[in-house]
Amino acid sequence: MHSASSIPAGTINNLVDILTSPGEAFQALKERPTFLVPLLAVILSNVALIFWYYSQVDYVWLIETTIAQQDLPDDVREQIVENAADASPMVTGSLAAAAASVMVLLMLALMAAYLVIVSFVTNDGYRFKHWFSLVSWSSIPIVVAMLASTVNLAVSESAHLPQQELNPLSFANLLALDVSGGGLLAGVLQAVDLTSVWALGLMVIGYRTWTGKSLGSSFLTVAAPLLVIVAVSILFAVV
Amino acid sequence: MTRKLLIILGIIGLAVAVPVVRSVLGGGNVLTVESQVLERLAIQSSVLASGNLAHEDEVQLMSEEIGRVTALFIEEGNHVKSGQLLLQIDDEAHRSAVEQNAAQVRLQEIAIERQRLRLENLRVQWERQRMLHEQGLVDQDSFDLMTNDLGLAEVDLLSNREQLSQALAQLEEAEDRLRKTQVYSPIDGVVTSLDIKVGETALSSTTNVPGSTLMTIANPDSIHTEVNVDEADIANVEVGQKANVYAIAYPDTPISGVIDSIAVSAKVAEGAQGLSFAVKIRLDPPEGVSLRPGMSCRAEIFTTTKENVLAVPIQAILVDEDRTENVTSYSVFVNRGGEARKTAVKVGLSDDTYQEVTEGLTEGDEIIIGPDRILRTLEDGDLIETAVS
Repeated sequence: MHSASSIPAGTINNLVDILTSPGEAFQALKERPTFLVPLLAVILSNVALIFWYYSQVDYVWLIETTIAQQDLPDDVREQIVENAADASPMVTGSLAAAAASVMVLLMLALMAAYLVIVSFVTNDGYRFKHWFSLVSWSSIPIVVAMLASTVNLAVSESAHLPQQELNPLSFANLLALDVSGGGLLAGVLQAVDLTSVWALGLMVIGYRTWTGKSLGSSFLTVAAPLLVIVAVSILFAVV
Repeated sequence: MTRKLLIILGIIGLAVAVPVVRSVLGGGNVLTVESQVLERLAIQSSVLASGNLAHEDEVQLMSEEIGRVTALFIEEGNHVKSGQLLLQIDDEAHRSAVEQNAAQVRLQEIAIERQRLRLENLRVQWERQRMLHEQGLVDQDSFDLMTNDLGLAEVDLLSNREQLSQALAQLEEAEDRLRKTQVYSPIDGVVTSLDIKVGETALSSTTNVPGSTLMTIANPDSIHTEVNVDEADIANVEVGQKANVYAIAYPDTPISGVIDSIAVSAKVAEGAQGLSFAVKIRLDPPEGVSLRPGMSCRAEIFTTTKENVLAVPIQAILVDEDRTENVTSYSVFVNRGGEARKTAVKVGLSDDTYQEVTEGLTEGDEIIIGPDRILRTLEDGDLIETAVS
């Protein structure tokens, strides 16, 4: 890992270019694919936010609010709250942070693996390290979401801030929608925010830059897994 | 480069501005709390104690004579009157004893009559002897002998009379023991416990054997409770104070009572460790409540009552202790236009549910009373929406 003072100038340029001139960033990455800096940035910003959230929130209230939406017998509910009162929120926060880190890594690796399969089919010559580099750098906008969430945590009544209201850039929060009722659409509106759309856009640009394919073809290729997931979810919801 | 820097700054600015604007415009977190409008109430401070029910007028009957029970004239639960015959103990031996003693009395009376006649006869003979002695026809020895016989006869008569008294006393004792084979009720009441059956042997109370009680009769209208008040609380308890008593069998039915007496000295109650004072509470049971002696109960003794005072639920009071200054301060949260405002208050009397507020609040104020999970982390100025209870 590079220290801050010895981060190569190329990495700093990439960090700036990925947000301001993504085409240039991906052109540079095509020759020298890297992933460590963006990966660490995404994971560490995620972990820091989770730790700070759990250090601020009223943990018992959080558990009560979480289980309130579930259909549980009263005695089970009381037992869960009692156990929560004895538990350490920072232990739970540590577990949540570890789980989030693993999830980020897994999602990026899966996306990269999918693009490897596409490369195998299209025979474009790119390998796993290229695609992992592309998806990692495309995830940099998530750091912006983490920043916005951190500011939100600072300015709000943090002891009773629900997890679903933590990210102010989610479509549910931006549009001030009441998604407490649950459901597929509510879940999508909570999970998807401006930066995830931005990240998808960066992947499309990166894929187009590397493969030379059209914008539409690049979008379909990159967004295919997401479209499949959405379609399957809708199918399950309807059925 | 300047363009790129501006874009970066613009992105960071948006990331900061969006949550700040949301918070300023009131899109921040609004907490749902419970509230109650402040009103004037009566507060009764109380002392809690536990004890048992008992009858004030209660007697445990024991036999004064040992014998087999030949007849029972009552059953458990029966109402009885004072003087009513309750049971019969086998009296054959006692009747025999009375007959024997009566016969002994008659014998003594006969002996007295015999002795009286003998005495009269001896007096006549003595008089004759005296006249003959005066005429010199009877010697001195013979006259002295007669005189002695007369004296002895008088003594014998006295002795017979004393023996008659003794026989009469023994007869009276035998008759008394015969009477004691019939057990009568000393009071009006109900047979609350019948511990003997026909054919069993009633033991005399003088044997001091546990369980020699025949039955227990109690006046059901005299039921009271005796509770043990901890020595730390007894200073506030006085005769005449009202109390609510809850029998274990009727946990939701308060039975009103009044303190009748307070023990003078403390003792360690059975099953307890600390010292307590026995307090008797006279009860006024409502209709439909069947109280029985021995029932466990708990009592709430109302020591002080204040009418028409401003009071808030106890859970709404926040306590702040400053250990360095040894000062305790109190506050509540009040709903002021959708914001929770922490207000310092001074408190007075309290009971299990409410705390008197002497300063800091006005009648009609909307006090935030819960839920506890929100109240304990609520801060001055937090946005709230209330469900008034």
